Amino acid sequence: MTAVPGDPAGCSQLGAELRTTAARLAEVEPALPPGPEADLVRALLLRLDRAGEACQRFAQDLAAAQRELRRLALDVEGAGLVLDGLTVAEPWGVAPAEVAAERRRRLPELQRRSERLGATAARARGALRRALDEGTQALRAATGATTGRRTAGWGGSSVTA
Amino acid sequence: MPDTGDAVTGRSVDAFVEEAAAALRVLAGALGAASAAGGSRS
Repeated sequence: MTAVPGDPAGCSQLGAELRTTAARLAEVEPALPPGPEADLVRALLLRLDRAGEACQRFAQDLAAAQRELRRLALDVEGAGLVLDGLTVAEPWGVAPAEVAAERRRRLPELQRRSERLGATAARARGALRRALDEGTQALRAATGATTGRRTAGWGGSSVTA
Repeated sequence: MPDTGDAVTGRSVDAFVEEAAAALRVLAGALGAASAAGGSRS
């Protein structure tokens, strides 16, 4: 299990699909008469586009973090140290004093890099979560408003899917 | 759904996509009903 898991390509593809759907809705929106359907289309296309952008930005951040993790792993190995998750450690076993000293000299800087990497990945996930949770709530409200108006105007049973 | 690398974030993705799909279904139903109503009036 990598210390920075996730699938940047899949997240990027989802983002592209969301934005494509938003673009299609933007094409039909001008033809709709004012009313609940037009309101829902506008809410949908805005939220789909924003969520798609958030997914694509996350995919970029995740890919960058995974690249940095690979660089870090090489540097850790080059310093004679081991990377366990995001923890840089000295390997088991006896080493000559000067080798052990050199490892200990390099360790703090590599550990700081690892912690920065973990924090960057966590921030990226947090930003995606916030964007999607906000979008989910906004869509729920917009759908409810449309369904509610339908219910009030048309007796309600036709638009409950 | 793509793997975001975090279960909580993954659930946010799932929830958003489900809500968007629900909104699209509502929209399709509403536009279909409006179209049918328009057709029946003509």
